[in-house]
Amino acid sequence: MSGRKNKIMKNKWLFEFDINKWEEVEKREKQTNDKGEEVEVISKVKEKRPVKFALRKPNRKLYDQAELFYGVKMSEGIKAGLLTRSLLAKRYEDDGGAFSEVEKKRYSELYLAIYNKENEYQRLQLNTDNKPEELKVRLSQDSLQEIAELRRELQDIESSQSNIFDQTAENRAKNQVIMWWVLFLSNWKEYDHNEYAQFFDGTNYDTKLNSYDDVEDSDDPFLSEVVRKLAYFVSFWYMGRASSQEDFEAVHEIYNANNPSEDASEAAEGEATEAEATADGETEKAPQSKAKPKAKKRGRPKAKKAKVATKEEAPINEEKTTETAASTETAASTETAASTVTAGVEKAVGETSDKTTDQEPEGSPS
Amino acid sequence: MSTVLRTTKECRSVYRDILQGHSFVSERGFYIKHYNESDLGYLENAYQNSADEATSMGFMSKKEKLDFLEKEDYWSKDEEDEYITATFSVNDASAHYEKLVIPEQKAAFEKIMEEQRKKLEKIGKTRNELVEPTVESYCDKIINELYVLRALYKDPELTKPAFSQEEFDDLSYRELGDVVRTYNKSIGQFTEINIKKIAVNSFFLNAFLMSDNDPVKFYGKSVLEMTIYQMNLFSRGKFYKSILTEGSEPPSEYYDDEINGITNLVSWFDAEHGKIMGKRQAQQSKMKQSSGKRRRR
Repeated sequence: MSGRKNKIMKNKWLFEFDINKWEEVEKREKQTNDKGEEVEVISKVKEKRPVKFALRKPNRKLYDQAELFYGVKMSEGIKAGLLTRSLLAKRYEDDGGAFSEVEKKRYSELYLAIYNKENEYQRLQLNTDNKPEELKVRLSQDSLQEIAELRRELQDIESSQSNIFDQTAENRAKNQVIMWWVLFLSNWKEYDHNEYAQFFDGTNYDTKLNSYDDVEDSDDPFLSEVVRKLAYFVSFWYMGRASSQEDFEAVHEIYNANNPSEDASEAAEGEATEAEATADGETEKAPQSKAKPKAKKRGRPKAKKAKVATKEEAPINEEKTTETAASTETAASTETAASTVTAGVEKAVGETSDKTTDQEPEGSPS
Repeated sequence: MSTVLRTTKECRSVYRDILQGHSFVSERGFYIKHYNESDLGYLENAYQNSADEATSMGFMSKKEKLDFLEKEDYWSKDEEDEYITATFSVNDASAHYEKLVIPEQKAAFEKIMEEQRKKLEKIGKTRNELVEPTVESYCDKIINELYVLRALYKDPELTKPAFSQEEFDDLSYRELGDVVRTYNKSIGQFTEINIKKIAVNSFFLNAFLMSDNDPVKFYGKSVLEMTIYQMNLFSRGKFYKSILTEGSEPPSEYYDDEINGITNLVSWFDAEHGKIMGKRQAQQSKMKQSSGKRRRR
């Protein structure tokens, strides 16, 4: 990541955050040895150093470029033979829909079964036939469990239906445009630099993508964590779930809740190394740390099959903004988004960005 | 968004801008440069470069894209025709709406306009997802922005651009919309009809008649440095001079009519031109006839 010259002069950021980097530093201590002599013990210890990262607040130019990129990728997809969403829907419609006959039957059976079970549960709550309390509780729990199972099956059918639409020209273009945003919004302060610089080297998509691949290919757990977080936050922003520092901080908490082990394990490792160094204090150099736990590899942000049923995918919002994207979603919906975006950007698409509209230039110059 | 000049005072103010080669927008503090041929050449060159860039990025021309989409059953010619018709309908409706004066008529027509707009929006959304971007739309966008960026200055000498490229890129869509509107409003004063109106005024014609049809004498600078509006106005001056040298003179009461005088003068010059052309045609046909007779003899 050396030689990042494309510094951004304007201090306009969507989100600033730290990622801890564990670094080996030399620790010098004066101790007295068995002979009563004062010796300097140099040990290598791992210390946590927060590295500053920021997502750039995109300007109009960047929105324009992203839109163009989307258009090009959409065209590529169509040229390569991918169907558009509307055409795919039309073809399924002509063939009698995306559901098979068996699925259709099962789908309606499940709906009816859920309806009946919910009624049953409500009757139990009213306890019109005066069942003993213990029996009532047991039956209620059974009902709830059955309802949950039925719902799960229903969601599976819905999910399989929505997955049919995963491989459309729009979806492919959206996945790539998310990657585009990750590459162009990510900034950091390398080695205590005072100003932010772009995290991914290069001036265009291809060169930045190469830089991304280099980061991915390096086995540095810090860089893996960086890429994972950047992709995670950009996906949330793209879906219109986060637009301010506060929104992103909430998303950060979700991320931490979903990935609790990362920092903790490294911290533990750091402490272990320190302890080891202290134990071998007599030696000039403490033993090097053990092999670090390998960070999970994530791959480029792309749409994968969602584990939960997601909303029907809406076409990309053509309205652009240079103001912050609106984030009117409730905590509950943020949770839903989080579950679909677990482990980086598993389901980065399928939602329309809910950006505040900032009107297009009216007309062209005379 | 064009401004209609009505009075001599209004004409004089716009004439001043033409002579200066720029306009000043006081509410924004912008000096708007009037382009000359060299500037237009620069923009044309930028368009070509953008077209090359777009092609290398994988964009297709509009025609190529439409042909491809039709061949692959994505977007038929009928659908494209429907889109074009809907676009024309909305434009025609807006133009018609501008002409309406009675509030009830306006209100009734707004509903029709809304329906047409919705129809266009629906078909346009699908179309744009499939057809855009094309080489043309990409270049148009680039050039439109460049047009505005290169026209705005902070000083009357037109040496300090109002925005650096970075500042311009940082403008939000709303801010850019405001800038474009300001630009369009200012440039909307220099329509063909307004230049005609300026040219019929005595403050222009008197000076023009003294310049011996020499633009360098008139503007005091090289022809290549003249703005497009300066050249248009000069050409119009020559045209009107040619009418006056035929011997006719506009009714003097037109010069005293503050409200309709200018419009009437333009109409008079147009009518006189028609008469002169008619006379010439009649003369030509007479000459043809007489030369035919001579040949037969």
